[in-house]
Amino acid sequence: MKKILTIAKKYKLHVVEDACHAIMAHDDKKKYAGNFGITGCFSMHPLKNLNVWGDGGIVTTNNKKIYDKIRLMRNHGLISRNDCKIYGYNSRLDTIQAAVGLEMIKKINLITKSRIKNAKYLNDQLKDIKEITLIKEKTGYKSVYHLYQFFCKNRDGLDVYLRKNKIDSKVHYPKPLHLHHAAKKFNYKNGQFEIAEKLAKKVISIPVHEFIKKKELDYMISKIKKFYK
Amino acid sequence: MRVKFTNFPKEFKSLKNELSHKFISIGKEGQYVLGKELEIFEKKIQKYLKVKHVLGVGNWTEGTIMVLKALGYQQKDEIITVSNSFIATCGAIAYSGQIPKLVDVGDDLNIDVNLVEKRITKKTRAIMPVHLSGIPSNLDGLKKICKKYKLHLIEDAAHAFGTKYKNKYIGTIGDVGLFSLHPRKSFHILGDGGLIVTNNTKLYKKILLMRNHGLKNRDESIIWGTNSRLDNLQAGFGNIMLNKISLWNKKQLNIALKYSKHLNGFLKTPVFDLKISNPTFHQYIVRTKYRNELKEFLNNNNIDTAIHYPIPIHKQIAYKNQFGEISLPMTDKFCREILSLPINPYLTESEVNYVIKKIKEFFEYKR
Repeated sequence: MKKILTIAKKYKLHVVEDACHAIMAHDDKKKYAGNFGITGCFSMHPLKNLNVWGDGGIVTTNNKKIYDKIRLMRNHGLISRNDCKIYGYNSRLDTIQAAVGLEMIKKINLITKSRIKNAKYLNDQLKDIKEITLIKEKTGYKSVYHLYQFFCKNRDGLDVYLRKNKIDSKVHYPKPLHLHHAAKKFNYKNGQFEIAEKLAKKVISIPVHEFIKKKELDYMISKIKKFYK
Repeated sequence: MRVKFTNFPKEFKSLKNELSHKFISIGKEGQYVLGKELEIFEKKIQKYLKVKHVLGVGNWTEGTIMVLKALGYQQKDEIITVSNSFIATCGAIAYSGQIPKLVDVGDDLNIDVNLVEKRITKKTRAIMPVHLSGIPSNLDGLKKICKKYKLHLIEDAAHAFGTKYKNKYIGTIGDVGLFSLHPRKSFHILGDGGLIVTNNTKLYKKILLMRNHGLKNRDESIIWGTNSRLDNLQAGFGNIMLNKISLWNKKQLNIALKYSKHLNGFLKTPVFDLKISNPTFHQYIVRTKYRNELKEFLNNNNIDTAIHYPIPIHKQIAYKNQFGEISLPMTDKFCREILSLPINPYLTESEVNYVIKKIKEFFEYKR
Protein backbone atom coordinates (compact mmCIF):
# COMPACT_ATOMS: atom_id res chain seq x y z
CA MET A 1 0.00 0.00 0.00
CA LYS A 2 2.92 2.35 0.65
CA LYS A 3 3.96 2.29 -3.01
CA ILE A 4 0.42 2.56 -4.27
CA LEU A 5 -0.31 5.50 -2.00
CA THR A 6 2.89 7.25 -3.16
CA ILE A 7 1.87 6.89 -6.81
CA ALA A 8 -1.67 8.03 -6.05
CA LYS A 9 -0.36 11.09 -4.24
CA LYS A 10 2.02 11.99 -7.06
CA TYR A 11 -0.73 11.87 -9.69
CA LYS A 12 -3.57 13.03 -7.43
CA LEU A 13 -5.57 9.83 -7.77
CA HIS A 14 -7.97 8.24 -5.35
CA VAL A 15 -7.18 4.84 -3.94
CA VAL A 16 -10.30 2.66 -3.70
CA GLU A 17 -9.46 -0.54 -1.86
CA ASP A 18 -11.07 -3.78 -2.99
CA ALA A 19 -10.85 -5.28 0.47
CA CYS A 20 -13.27 -8.16 -0.15
CA HIS A 21 -10.80 -10.80 1.01
CA ALA A 22 -9.02 -8.77 3.64
CA ILE A 23 -11.11 -8.10 6.72
CA MET A 24 -8.72 -7.73 9.72
CA ALA A 25 -5.59 -7.76 7.52
CA HIS A 26 -3.10 -5.04 8.43
CA ASP A 27 0.34 -3.59 7.68
CA ASP A 28 3.41 -3.37 9.92
CA LYS A 29 1.94 -0.33 11.69
CA LYS A 30 -1.31 -2.16 12.40
CA LYS A 31 -3.23 -0.11 9.90
CA TYR A 32 -6.12 -2.24 8.67
CA ALA A 33 -7.20 -2.93 5.11
CA GLY A 34 -10.00 -0.56 4.20
CA ASN A 35 -8.20 2.27 6.02
CA PHE A 36 -5.60 3.23 3.43
CA GLY A 37 -7.58 4.53 0.50
CA ILE A 38 -10.37 7.07 0.26
CA THR A 39 -12.73 4.13 0.68
CA GLY A 40 -12.51 0.43 1.36
CA CYS A 41 -15.11 -1.95 -0.03
CA PHE A 42 -15.76 -5.25 1.69
CA SER A 43 -17.94 -8.13 0.58
CA MET A 44 -19.97 -10.05 3.13
CA HIS A 45 -20.92 -12.84 0.74
CA PRO A 46 -21.33 -16.16 2.61
CA LEU A 47 -17.88 -17.34 1.50
CA LYS A 48 -16.03 -14.42 3.07
CA ASN A 49 -14.26 -14.51 6.46
CA LEU A 50 -16.83 -12.10 7.91
CA ASN A 51 -20.08 -12.99 6.22
CA VAL A 52 -23.82 -12.68 6.33
CA TRP A 53 -26.34 -15.21 5.03
CA GLY A 54 -26.86 -13.73 1.62
CA ASP A 55 -25.39 -10.89 -0.39
CA GLY A 56 -24.11 -7.90 1.54
CA GLY A 57 -21.25 -5.45 1.70
CA ILE A 58 -19.59 -2.71 3.70
CA VAL A 59 -18.04 0.59 2.62
CA THR A 60 -15.43 2.09 4.96
CA THR A 61 -13.99 5.57 4.78
CA ASN A 62 -12.33 8.22 6.91
CA ASN A 63 -13.72 10.90 4.61
CA LYS A 64 -16.86 12.50 6.05
CA LYS A 65 -17.94 14.00 2.70
CA ILE A 66 -17.85 10.64 0.91
CA TYR A 67 -19.66 9.03 3.83
CA ASP A 68 -22.45 11.62 3.76
CA LYS A 69 -22.84 11.25 0.01
CA ILE A 70 -22.97 7.44 -0.05
CA ARG A 71 -25.31 7.46 2.93
CA LEU A 72 -27.72 9.45 0.78
CA MET A 73 -27.06 7.38 -2.33
CA ARG A 74 -27.75 4.02 -0.73
CA ASN A 75 -31.28 5.17 0.13
CA HIS A 76 -32.57 6.88 -3.04
CA GLY A 77 -30.86 10.19 -2.16
CA LEU A 78 -33.47 10.81 0.54
CA ILE A 79 -32.65 13.30 3.32
CA SER A 80 -35.95 12.44 4.99
CA ARG A 81 -38.84 10.11 4.14
CA ASN A 82 -40.17 12.52 1.55
CA ASP A 83 -37.28 14.77 0.49
CA CYS A 84 -34.89 13.67 -2.20
CA LYS A 85 -31.71 15.71 -2.58
CA ILE A 86 -29.81 13.73 -5.20
CA TYR A 87 -30.84 10.84 -7.39
CA GLY A 88 -29.47 7.79 -5.66
CA TYR A 89 -29.80 4.10 -5.66
CA ASN A 90 -31.17 1.41 -3.41
CA SER A 91 -28.44 -0.59 -1.73
CA ARG A 92 -29.14 -1.15 1.95
CA LEU A 93 -27.90 -4.04 4.05
CA ASP A 94 -31.03 -5.81 5.36
CA THR A 95 -31.59 -5.53 9.12
CA ILE A 96 -31.87 -9.31 9.31
CA GLN A 97 -28.51 -9.70 7.61
CA ALA A 98 -26.99 -7.03 9.85
CA ALA A 99 -28.20 -9.05 12.84
CA VAL A 100 -26.43 -12.12 11.43
CA GLY A 101 -23.34 -9.96 10.90
CA LEU A 102 -23.47 -8.75 14.51
CA GLU A 103 -23.22 -12.36 15.68
CA MET A 104 -20.44 -13.16 13.20
CA ILE A 105 -18.37 -10.15 14.14
CA LYS A 106 -18.03 -11.50 17.67
CA LYS A 107 -16.19 -14.44 16.16
CA ILE A 108 -14.01 -12.63 13.63
CA ASN A 109 -10.85 -12.65 15.77
CA LEU A 110 -11.23 -16.35 16.36
CA ILE A 111 -11.97 -17.01 12.69
CA THR A 112 -8.93 -15.00 11.60
CA LYS A 113 -6.69 -16.71 14.15
CA SER A 114 -7.65 -20.23 13.13
CA ARG A 115 -7.27 -19.46 9.41
CA ILE A 116 -3.77 -18.10 10.05
CA LYS A 117 -2.94 -21.15 12.15
CA ASN A 118 -4.15 -23.50 9.41
CA ALA A 119 -2.21 -21.59 6.77
CA LYS A 120 1.02 -21.68 8.81
CA TYR A 121 0.67 -25.41 9.28
CA LEU A 122 0.08 -25.95 5.57
CA ASN A 123 3.07 -23.70 4.73
CA ASP A 124 5.24 -25.67 7.06
CA GLN A 125 4.21 -29.04 5.67
CA LEU A 126 4.26 -28.12 1.99
CA LYS A 127 7.43 -26.04 1.87
CA ASP A 128 9.73 -28.92 0.95
CA ILE A 129 7.80 -30.11 -2.09
CA LYS A 130 9.88 -28.84 -4.96
CA GLU A 131 6.95 -28.66 -7.39
CA ILE A 132 5.24 -26.17 -5.09
CA THR A 133 6.00 -22.47 -4.58
CA LEU A 134 4.44 -20.95 -1.48
CA ILE A 135 3.31 -17.35 -1.31
CA LYS A 136 5.67 -15.42 0.95
CA GLU A 137 4.33 -13.25 3.74
CA LYS A 138 5.86 -9.87 4.42
CA THR A 139 7.26 -9.49 7.94
CA GLY A 140 5.09 -7.45 10.24
CA TYR A 141 2.08 -7.67 7.94
CA LYS A 142 -0.91 -9.74 8.84
CA SER A 143 -2.45 -11.89 6.09
CA VAL A 144 -5.86 -13.25 7.00
CA TYR A 145 -6.10 -16.14 4.51
CA HIS A 146 -9.53 -15.78 3.06
CA LEU A 147 -7.93 -18.24 0.63
CA TYR A 148 -4.92 -20.48 1.03
CA GLN A 149 -3.22 -20.41 -2.32
CA PHE A 150 0.06 -21.67 -3.71
CA PHE A 151 1.68 -22.08 -7.12
CA CYS A 152 2.39 -25.53 -8.44
CA LYS A 153 3.45 -27.61 -11.40
CA ASN A 154 0.74 -29.52 -13.24
CA ARG A 155 -1.95 -27.48 -11.51
CA ASP A 156 -4.86 -28.91 -13.46
CA GLY A 157 -3.68 -32.43 -12.69
CA LEU A 158 -3.43 -31.68 -9.00
CA ASP A 159 -6.82 -29.96 -9.02
CA VAL A 160 -8.54 -32.99 -10.56
CA TYR A 161 -6.63 -35.40 -8.29
CA LEU A 162 -7.57 -33.53 -5.10
CA ARG A 163 -11.21 -33.29 -6.04
CA LYS A 164 -11.23 -36.98 -6.90
CA ASN A 165 -10.03 -37.50 -3.33
CA LYS A 166 -12.90 -35.39 -1.98
CA ILE A 167 -10.81 -32.32 -1.28
CA ASP A 168 -12.57 -29.12 -2.28
CA SER A 169 -9.76 -27.47 -4.25
CA LYS A 170 -10.55 -24.42 -6.37
CA VAL A 171 -8.81 -22.00 -8.68
CA HIS A 172 -8.94 -18.27 -7.92
CA TYR A 173 -9.07 -17.37 -10.76
CA PRO A 174 -8.52 -19.43 -13.91
CA LYS A 175 -9.06 -16.46 -16.21
CA PRO A 176 -7.52 -13.05 -15.46
CA LEU A 177 -10.04 -10.22 -15.81
CA HIS A 178 -8.52 -8.71 -18.94
CA LEU A 179 -9.09 -11.92 -20.90
CA HIS A 180 -12.84 -12.19 -20.25
CA HIS A 181 -15.13 -11.72 -23.23
CA ALA A 182 -16.70 -8.76 -21.45
CA ALA A 183 -13.31 -6.96 -21.43
CA LYS A 184 -12.98 -7.09 -25.21
CA LYS A 185 -14.06 -3.50 -25.64
CA PHE A 186 -11.01 -2.33 -23.68
CA ASN A 187 -8.68 -3.92 -26.26
CA TYR A 188 -6.48 -5.86 -23.87
CA LYS A 189 -4.32 -8.52 -25.49
CA ASN A 190 -3.25 -12.02 -24.66
CA GLY A 191 0.18 -11.78 -23.08
CA GLN A 192 -0.26 -8.19 -22.01
CA PHE A 193 -0.01 -9.05 -18.31
CA GLU A 194 2.47 -11.90 -18.46
CA ILE A 195 2.78 -12.63 -14.78
CA ALA A 196 -0.94 -12.54 -14.09
CA GLU A 197 -1.52 -14.90 -16.99
CA LYS A 198 1.31 -17.24 -15.94
CA LEU A 199 0.10 -17.37 -12.35
CA ALA A 200 -3.49 -18.02 -13.42
CA LYS A 201 -2.18 -21.29 -14.86
CA LYS A 202 -0.23 -22.26 -11.73
CA VAL A 203 -2.34 -21.12 -8.81
CA ILE A 204 -4.57 -23.37 -6.72
CA SER A 205 -6.59 -22.89 -3.51
CA ILE A 206 -7.24 -25.52 -0.87
CA PRO A 207 -9.59 -25.28 2.13
CA VAL A 208 -8.27 -23.21 5.05
CA HIS A 209 -11.44 -22.20 6.89
CA GLU A 210 -11.98 -22.22 10.66
CA PHE A 211 -13.88 -25.53 10.71
CA ILE A 212 -11.06 -27.61 9.17
CA LYS A 213 -9.66 -30.19 11.59
CA LYS A 214 -5.97 -31.08 11.94
CA LYS A 215 -6.80 -34.53 10.65
CA GLU A 216 -8.23 -33.00 7.50
CA LEU A 217 -5.20 -30.76 7.01
CA ASP A 218 -2.94 -33.83 7.31
CA TYR A 219 -5.10 -35.69 4.82
CA MET A 220 -4.78 -32.87 2.27
CA ILE A 221 -1.02 -32.67 2.82
CA SER A 222 -0.56 -36.41 2.37
CA LYS A 223 -2.60 -36.39 -0.85
CA ILE A 224 -0.60 -33.48 -2.28
CA LYS A 225 2.66 -35.25 -1.39
CA LYS A 226 1.40 -38.46 -2.93
CA PHE A 227 0.44 -36.66 -6.14
CA TYR A 228 3.94 -35.31 -6.63
CA LYS A 229 5.56 -38.68 -5.87
CA MET B 1 -56.29 1.37 20.91
CA ARG B 2 -54.57 2.80 17.88
CA VAL B 3 -55.55 1.92 14.30
CA LYS B 4 -52.16 1.20 12.83
CA PHE B 5 -51.18 1.87 9.24
CA THR B 6 -49.10 -1.28 9.12
CA ASN B 7 -48.92 -4.20 11.47
CA PHE B 8 -45.74 -6.19 11.00
CA PRO B 9 -45.53 -7.62 14.52
CA LYS B 10 -49.01 -9.11 14.07
CA GLU B 11 -48.04 -10.58 10.73
CA PHE B 12 -44.84 -12.02 12.13
CA LYS B 13 -46.69 -13.55 15.04
CA SER B 14 -49.01 -15.40 12.69
CA LEU B 15 -46.17 -16.62 10.45
CA LYS B 16 -43.49 -17.07 13.10
CA ASN B 17 -43.31 -20.86 12.99
CA GLU B 18 -43.17 -21.14 9.22
CA LEU B 19 -40.60 -18.33 8.87
CA SER B 20 -38.35 -19.67 11.63
CA HIS B 21 -38.53 -23.17 10.20
CA LYS B 22 -37.51 -21.85 6.79
CA PHE B 23 -34.64 -19.87 8.31
CA ILE B 24 -33.32 -22.95 10.07
CA SER B 25 -33.69 -25.29 7.10
CA ILE B 26 -31.88 -22.91 4.75
CA GLY B 27 -29.19 -22.38 7.39
CA LYS B 28 -28.70 -26.12 7.75
CA GLU B 29 -28.12 -26.46 4.01
CA GLY B 30 -25.96 -23.36 3.91
CA GLN B 31 -27.19 -22.29 0.49
CA TYR B 32 -27.49 -18.52 0.62
CA VAL B 33 -26.87 -17.23 -2.90
CA LEU B 34 -28.77 -18.27 -6.06
CA GLY B 35 -30.10 -21.34 -4.29
CA LYS B 36 -33.00 -23.75 -4.53
CA GLU B 37 -35.51 -21.50 -2.72
CA LEU B 38 -34.93 -18.76 -5.28
CA GLU B 39 -35.44 -21.22 -8.13
CA ILE B 40 -38.71 -22.43 -6.59
CA PHE B 41 -39.82 -18.87 -5.88
CA GLU B 42 -39.26 -17.78 -9.47
CA LYS B 43 -41.11 -20.83 -10.80
CA LYS B 44 -44.07 -20.24 -8.49
CA ILE B 45 -44.31 -16.56 -9.46
CA GLN B 46 -44.15 -17.62 -13.11
CA LYS B 47 -47.18 -19.83 -12.54
CA TYR B 48 -49.04 -17.31 -10.41
CA LEU B 49 -48.70 -14.43 -12.86
CA LYS B 50 -48.86 -16.67 -15.95
CA VAL B 51 -45.71 -15.16 -17.36
CA LYS B 52 -42.80 -16.77 -19.22
CA HIS B 53 -39.86 -15.49 -17.19
CA VAL B 54 -39.24 -14.29 -13.64
CA LEU B 55 -36.04 -13.02 -12.03
CA GLY B 56 -35.54 -12.34 -8.32
CA VAL B 57 -33.31 -9.30 -7.88
CA GLY B 58 -31.86 -7.12 -5.11
CA ASN B 59 -34.66 -4.57 -5.20
CA TRP B 60 -36.97 -2.66 -7.55
CA THR B 61 -34.43 0.08 -8.25
CA GLU B 62 -31.61 -2.27 -9.21
CA GLY B 63 -34.04 -4.30 -11.30
CA THR B 64 -35.21 -1.22 -13.21
CA ILE B 65 -31.66 -0.02 -13.83
CA MET B 66 -30.79 -3.43 -15.27
CA VAL B 67 -33.91 -3.39 -17.48
CA LEU B 68 -33.07 0.06 -18.88
CA LYS B 69 -29.54 -1.09 -19.62
CA ALA B 70 -30.63 -4.41 -21.10
CA LEU B 71 -33.09 -2.64 -23.41
CA GLY B 72 -30.10 -0.76 -24.79
CA TYR B 73 -31.06 2.81 -23.88
CA GLN B 74 -28.41 5.48 -24.35
CA GLN B 75 -27.58 8.52 -22.22
CA LYS B 76 -30.28 11.21 -22.57
CA ASP B 77 -32.86 8.86 -24.05
CA GLU B 78 -36.29 9.68 -22.65
CA ILE B 79 -38.72 7.62 -20.61
CA ILE B 80 -42.26 8.88 -20.07
CA THR B 81 -43.59 8.46 -16.55
CA VAL B 82 -45.44 10.24 -13.73
CA SER B 83 -44.52 12.52 -10.87
CA ASN B 84 -46.80 11.25 -8.10
CA SER B 85 -44.81 8.19 -7.22
CA PHE B 86 -42.05 7.18 -4.89
CA ILE B 87 -38.78 8.88 -5.83
CA ALA B 88 -37.30 5.60 -7.12
CA THR B 89 -39.50 5.71 -10.24
CA CYS B 90 -37.46 8.64 -11.55
CA GLY B 91 -34.36 7.85 -9.49
CA ALA B 92 -33.72 4.64 -11.39
CA ILE B 93 -34.17 6.40 -14.74
CA ALA B 94 -31.88 9.28 -13.79
CA TYR B 95 -29.26 7.02 -12.19
CA SER B 96 -29.18 4.98 -15.37
CA GLY B 97 -28.59 8.14 -17.43
CA GLN B 98 -31.95 8.56 -19.12
CA ILE B 99 -34.35 11.47 -18.74
CA PRO B 100 -37.70 11.02 -16.99
CA LYS B 101 -40.31 12.93 -19.01
CA LEU B 102 -43.17 13.55 -16.62
CA VAL B 103 -46.83 13.52 -17.59
CA ASP B 104 -49.77 14.68 -15.46
CA VAL B 105 -52.28 12.23 -13.98
CA GLY B 106 -56.04 11.71 -14.18
CA ASP B 107 -58.45 11.38 -11.27
CA ASP B 108 -57.47 7.72 -10.83
CA LEU B 109 -54.06 9.19 -9.85
CA ASN B 110 -52.46 7.25 -12.73
CA ILE B 111 -50.90 8.54 -15.93
CA ASP B 112 -53.32 10.54 -18.09
CA VAL B 113 -53.15 8.72 -21.42
CA ASN B 114 -54.48 11.76 -23.31
CA LEU B 115 -51.39 13.77 -22.37
CA VAL B 116 -48.77 11.19 -23.33
CA GLU B 117 -48.43 11.78 -27.08
CA LYS B 118 -47.57 15.46 -26.59
CA ARG B 119 -44.47 14.44 -24.60
CA ILE B 120 -43.11 12.01 -27.19
CA THR B 121 -39.98 13.13 -29.04
CA LYS B 122 -37.38 11.45 -31.26
CA LYS B 123 -35.53 10.52 -28.07
CA THR B 124 -38.45 8.75 -26.39
CA ARG B 125 -37.85 5.05 -25.88
CA ALA B 126 -40.44 3.86 -23.40
CA ILE B 127 -43.49 4.63 -21.30
CA MET B 128 -43.33 3.60 -17.67
CA PRO B 129 -46.77 3.80 -16.04
CA VAL B 130 -47.04 3.46 -12.27
CA HIS B 131 -50.02 1.41 -11.12
CA LEU B 132 -50.36 3.54 -8.03
CA SER B 133 -51.70 1.83 -4.92
CA GLY B 134 -52.54 -1.30 -6.96
CA ILE B 135 -55.03 0.37 -9.30
CA PRO B 136 -54.05 -0.34 -12.91
CA SER B 137 -53.20 2.41 -15.37
CA ASN B 138 -55.05 2.52 -18.69
CA LEU B 139 -52.91 -0.15 -20.31
CA ASP B 140 -54.99 -0.51 -23.48
CA GLY B 141 -54.52 3.18 -24.21
CA LEU B 142 -50.82 3.05 -23.45
CA LYS B 143 -50.28 -0.07 -25.55
CA LYS B 144 -51.82 1.65 -28.55
CA ILE B 145 -49.46 4.60 -28.18
CA CYS B 146 -46.46 2.30 -27.67
CA LYS B 147 -47.32 0.42 -30.84
CA LYS B 148 -47.80 3.58 -32.86
CA TYR B 149 -44.48 5.13 -31.80
CA LYS B 150 -42.55 1.86 -31.34
CA LEU B 151 -41.93 2.38 -27.64
CA HIS B 152 -41.43 -0.16 -24.89
CA LEU B 153 -44.04 -0.43 -22.17
CA ILE B 154 -42.29 -0.86 -18.82
CA GLU B 155 -44.73 -1.44 -15.97
CA ASP B 156 -43.84 -0.01 -12.57
CA ALA B 157 -45.85 -2.65 -10.75
CA ALA B 158 -44.26 -2.04 -7.34
CA HIS B 159 -47.70 -1.57 -5.72
CA ALA B 160 -49.67 -4.03 -7.78
CA PHE B 161 -48.74 -7.67 -7.27
CA GLY B 162 -51.85 -9.70 -7.97
CA THR B 163 -53.89 -6.93 -9.56
CA LYS B 164 -55.52 -8.07 -12.78
CA TYR B 165 -56.30 -5.96 -15.81
CA LYS B 166 -58.86 -7.59 -18.09
CA ASN B 167 -57.91 -11.09 -16.97
CA LYS B 168 -54.17 -10.62 -17.25
CA TYR B 169 -51.90 -9.85 -14.36
CA ILE B 170 -50.32 -6.43 -14.00
CA GLY B 171 -46.62 -6.63 -14.83
CA THR B 172 -47.15 -9.15 -17.61
CA ILE B 173 -48.98 -6.87 -20.03
CA GLY B 174 -46.14 -4.57 -21.05
CA ASP B 175 -42.73 -5.64 -22.37
CA VAL B 176 -41.51 -6.02 -18.82
CA GLY B 177 -42.90 -5.54 -15.30
CA LEU B 178 -41.10 -4.60 -12.11
CA PHE B 179 -42.25 -5.51 -8.61
CA SER B 180 -40.89 -4.40 -5.28
CA LEU B 181 -40.81 -6.91 -2.42
CA HIS B 182 -39.98 -4.25 0.19
CA PRO B 183 -41.53 -5.10 3.59
CA ARG B 184 -44.00 -2.27 3.19
CA LYS B 185 -45.56 -3.81 0.06
CA SER B 186 -48.63 -6.07 0.17
CA PHE B 187 -46.54 -8.88 -1.29
CA HIS B 188 -43.24 -8.66 0.53
CA ILE B 189 -40.27 -10.35 2.11
CA LEU B 190 -38.33 -9.41 5.26
CA GLY B 191 -35.87 -7.04 3.63
CA ASP B 192 -35.15 -5.46 0.27
CA GLY B 193 -35.99 -7.44 -2.85
CA GLY B 194 -37.59 -7.19 -6.27
CA LEU B 195 -38.94 -9.14 -9.22
CA ILE B 196 -38.55 -8.65 -12.95
CA VAL B 197 -41.18 -10.41 -15.06
CA THR B 198 -41.27 -10.61 -18.85
CA ASN B 199 -42.42 -12.72 -21.78
CA ASN B 200 -39.38 -11.56 -23.77
CA THR B 201 -36.83 -14.40 -23.68
CA LYS B 202 -33.97 -12.31 -25.06
CA LEU B 203 -34.44 -9.66 -22.38
CA TYR B 204 -34.70 -12.34 -19.70
CA LYS B 205 -31.47 -14.03 -20.78
CA LYS B 206 -29.61 -10.75 -20.76
CA ILE B 207 -30.75 -9.74 -17.27
CA LEU B 208 -30.10 -13.27 -16.01
CA LEU B 209 -26.46 -12.63 -16.89
CA MET B 210 -26.43 -9.03 -15.67
CA ARG B 211 -27.71 -9.76 -12.17
CA ASN B 212 -24.77 -12.13 -11.60
CA HIS B 213 -21.70 -10.24 -12.87
CA GLY B 214 -22.31 -11.24 -16.50
CA LEU B 215 -21.06 -14.74 -15.64
CA LYS B 216 -22.13 -17.60 -17.88
CA ASN B 217 -20.44 -20.01 -15.47
CA ARG B 218 -18.33 -19.66 -12.30
CA ASP B 219 -15.29 -18.39 -14.16
CA GLU B 220 -16.34 -16.81 -17.43
CA SER B 221 -17.94 -13.46 -17.95
CA ILE B 222 -19.36 -12.53 -21.33
CA ILE B 223 -20.83 -9.09 -20.55
CA TRP B 224 -20.20 -6.62 -17.74
CA GLY B 225 -22.95 -7.03 -15.23
CA THR B 226 -23.71 -6.05 -11.69
CA ASN B 227 -24.62 -7.97 -8.55
CA SER B 228 -28.32 -7.95 -7.84
CA ARG B 229 -29.56 -11.34 -6.69
CA LEU B 230 -32.52 -11.95 -4.43
CA ASP B 231 -31.12 -13.72 -1.35
CA ASN B 232 -32.04 -17.38 -1.14
CA LEU B 233 -33.19 -16.75 2.43
CA GLN B 234 -35.50 -13.94 1.34
CA ALA B 235 -36.82 -16.08 -1.52
CA GLY B 236 -37.59 -18.74 1.10
CA PHE B 237 -39.63 -16.18 3.05
CA GLY B 238 -41.22 -15.14 -0.25
CA ASN B 239 -42.37 -18.71 -0.85
CA ILE B 240 -44.27 -18.54 2.45
CA MET B 241 -45.73 -15.11 1.70
CA LEU B 242 -46.86 -16.24 -1.75
CA ASN B 243 -49.21 -18.73 -0.12
CA LYS B 244 -50.90 -15.82 1.66
CA ILE B 245 -50.99 -13.09 -0.93
CA SER B 246 -54.28 -14.00 -2.62
CA LEU B 247 -56.05 -13.92 0.74
CA TRP B 248 -54.32 -10.68 1.77
CA ASN B 249 -55.21 -8.98 -1.50
CA LYS B 250 -58.82 -10.11 -1.14
CA LYS B 251 -58.99 -8.81 2.42
CA GLN B 252 -57.62 -5.45 1.33
CA LEU B 253 -60.07 -5.24 -1.57
CA ASN B 254 -62.95 -5.94 0.82
CA ILE B 255 -61.78 -3.24 3.22
CA ALA B 256 -61.49 -0.83 0.28
CA LEU B 257 -64.98 -1.65 -0.95
CA LYS B 258 -66.37 -1.05 2.51
CA TYR B 259 -64.54 2.27 2.87
CA SER B 260 -65.82 3.36 -0.55
CA LYS B 261 -69.40 2.31 0.17
CA HIS B 262 -69.56 4.35 3.37
CA LEU B 263 -67.33 7.30 2.59
CA ASN B 264 -68.38 8.12 -0.95
CA GLY B 265 -69.97 11.56 -0.88
CA PHE B 266 -68.03 12.72 2.15
CA LEU B 267 -64.78 12.70 0.24
CA LYS B 268 -63.47 11.49 -3.13
CA THR B 269 -62.88 7.76 -2.90
CA PRO B 270 -60.47 5.91 -5.23
CA VAL B 271 -61.50 5.68 -8.88
CA PHE B 272 -61.57 2.16 -10.26
CA ASP B 273 -63.71 -0.17 -12.35
CA LEU B 274 -64.39 -3.65 -11.01
CA LYS B 275 -65.38 -4.79 -14.49
CA ILE B 276 -61.81 -4.18 -15.68
CA SER B 277 -59.82 -4.95 -12.59
CA ASN B 278 -59.67 -6.19 -9.02
CA PRO B 279 -57.33 -3.58 -7.50
CA THR B 280 -55.19 -4.95 -4.67
CA PHE B 281 -55.19 -1.69 -2.69
CA HIS B 282 -51.65 -1.53 -1.49
CA GLN B 283 -52.89 1.87 -0.34
CA TYR B 284 -56.40 3.29 -0.06
CA ILE B 285 -56.06 6.90 -1.17
CA VAL B 286 -58.93 9.37 -0.73
CA ARG B 287 -59.08 13.04 -1.70
CA THR B 288 -60.50 16.01 0.18
CA LYS B 289 -59.74 19.71 0.30
CA TYR B 290 -59.74 19.39 4.09
CA ARG B 291 -56.87 16.91 3.97
CA ASN B 292 -54.59 18.44 6.61
CA GLU B 293 -57.43 19.00 9.06
CA LEU B 294 -58.74 15.49 8.52
CA LYS B 295 -55.29 14.00 8.99
CA GLU B 296 -54.89 15.83 12.28
CA PHE B 297 -58.40 14.91 13.42
CA LEU B 298 -57.81 11.22 12.69
CA ASN B 299 -54.44 11.33 14.39
CA ASN B 300 -56.05 12.84 17.49
CA ASN B 301 -58.52 9.96 17.37
CA ASN B 302 -55.70 7.38 17.28
CA ILE B 303 -55.95 6.60 13.59
CA ASP B 304 -52.73 6.40 11.55
CA THR B 305 -52.79 7.89 8.08
CA ALA B 306 -50.11 8.65 5.50
CA ILE B 307 -49.65 10.65 2.32
CA HIS B 308 -48.51 9.01 -0.89
CA TYR B 309 -46.73 11.24 -1.70
CA PRO B 310 -46.50 14.64 0.01
CA ILE B 311 -43.85 15.99 -2.39
CA PRO B 312 -44.28 14.90 -6.02
CA ILE B 313 -41.07 13.99 -7.82
CA HIS B 314 -41.00 17.15 -9.98
CA LYS B 315 -40.85 19.22 -6.79
CA GLN B 316 -37.88 17.32 -5.36
CA ILE B 317 -34.49 19.05 -5.27
CA ALA B 318 -32.92 16.12 -7.13
CA TYR B 319 -35.35 16.54 -10.02
CA LYS B 320 -35.27 20.34 -10.18
CA ASN B 321 -31.46 20.50 -10.08
CA GLN B 322 -31.14 18.17 -13.03
CA PHE B 323 -34.23 18.70 -15.16
CA GLY B 324 -35.59 22.13 -14.15
CA GLU B 325 -39.12 23.33 -13.40
CA ILE B 326 -42.17 21.73 -14.94
CA SER B 327 -45.89 22.36 -14.50
CA LEU B 328 -48.17 19.44 -13.62
CA PRO B 329 -51.37 21.10 -12.37
CA MET B 330 -53.36 17.96 -11.56
CA THR B 331 -50.47 16.30 -9.76
CA ASP B 332 -49.98 19.46 -7.70
CA LYS B 333 -53.69 19.75 -6.91
CA PHE B 334 -54.05 16.09 -5.89
CA CYS B 335 -50.91 16.32 -3.83
CA ARG B 336 -52.67 18.79 -1.53
CA GLU B 337 -55.79 16.60 -1.29
CA ILE B 338 -54.63 12.99 -0.99
CA LEU B 339 -54.71 10.97 2.19
CA SER B 340 -54.03 7.25 2.63
CA LEU B 341 -56.29 5.51 5.15
CA PRO B 342 -55.15 2.45 7.11
CA ILE B 343 -55.40 -0.70 5.04
CA ASN B 344 -53.69 -4.00 5.73
CA PRO B 345 -54.79 -7.62 6.06
CA TYR B 346 -54.65 -7.45 9.85
CA LEU B 347 -57.09 -4.57 10.19
CA THR B 348 -60.15 -5.81 12.08
CA GLU B 349 -63.74 -5.11 11.14
CA SER B 350 -64.23 -2.96 14.21
CA GLU B 351 -61.15 -0.91 13.31
CA VAL B 352 -62.51 -0.31 9.81
CA ASN B 353 -65.88 0.69 11.27
CA TYR B 354 -64.15 3.03 13.69
CA VAL B 355 -62.23 4.76 10.88
CA ILE B 356 -65.47 5.20 8.89
CA LYS B 357 -67.31 6.51 11.93
CA LYS B 358 -64.63 9.06 12.73
CA ILE B 359 -64.41 10.33 9.14
CA LYS B 360 -68.19 10.77 9.03
CA GLU B 361 -68.00 12.59 12.33
CA PHE B 362 -65.38 14.94 10.93
CA PHE B 363 -67.47 15.82 7.91
CA GLU B 364 -70.70 16.21 9.85
CA TYR B 365 -68.92 18.75 11.98
CA LYS B 366 -67.57 20.41 8.81
CA ARG B 367 -71.06 20.86 7.47
